[in-house]
Amino acid sequence: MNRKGQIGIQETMLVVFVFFIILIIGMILFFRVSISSSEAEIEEYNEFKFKQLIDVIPNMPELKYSRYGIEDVWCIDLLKARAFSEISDKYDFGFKRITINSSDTIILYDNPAQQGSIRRANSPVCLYDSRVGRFGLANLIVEWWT
Amino acid sequence: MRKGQVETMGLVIIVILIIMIGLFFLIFSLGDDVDGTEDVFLSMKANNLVNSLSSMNIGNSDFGSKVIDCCGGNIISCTDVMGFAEIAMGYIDEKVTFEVECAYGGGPGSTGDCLSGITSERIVLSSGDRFFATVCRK
Repeated sequence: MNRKGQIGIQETMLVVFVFFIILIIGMILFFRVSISSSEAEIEEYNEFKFKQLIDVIPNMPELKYSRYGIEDVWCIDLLKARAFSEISDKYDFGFKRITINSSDTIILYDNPAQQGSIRRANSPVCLYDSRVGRFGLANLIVEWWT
Repeated sequence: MRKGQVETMGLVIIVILIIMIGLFFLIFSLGDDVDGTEDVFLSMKANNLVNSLSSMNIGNSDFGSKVIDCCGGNIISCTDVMGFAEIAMGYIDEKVTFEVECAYGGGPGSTGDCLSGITSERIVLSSGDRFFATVCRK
């Protein structure tokens, strides 16, 4: 093989080598960005699911006020809430604590994590007290250990 | 092909690849920053506020009747309406405004400090009077 041919082959190999190095770097960066983007989407989804509880909880049939089976008033029934708090360990809301604060406090669900930061969402809800037959205001608090 | 031409071609390929990688980075770094879920959350809060108020009792009456009385010119009912609205607004961390729109004008107007934000559904009463809440983004 003459010298000129050898130099040509070496140059081609060098270009192919550099090409593959850059390709590999590009792929690594691309996958890293893809993974971090997916993680951000998962985080956003979990965050939404957590915040959505302020709408889901008052609309749960287990808690919602109804009269003769007709749900004509948007309200949580205090007696149903108390009954639900007794059996809520059969539900899985994750590492959360769900509380209704009015004249007294009802812990609907209590499954705190041992560690981690706590996020909190709260909202006003209507609470029906069947003992006095009145619709009042309460504060629904959802805490999430992340 | 001459040696210089081959080198130039290799350089061009490398430059093109670097530009492509740079473009990939730009596409991913300039993502959509608007958080739509936050608006949905605030909308849920605003709706919870007006729905709670519309269901609740005040004395021997309910909130809706108080709003109708208020729009009819009963100042004591207006004080009750705005007072209970402010109690409910206290359960929301963000800035909130509660507003009553009377069918024939007048009425108590609004209370709160949110000028523009996510507005709840409007609760329309039998008299045509209506009320709603607006929750501001943080």
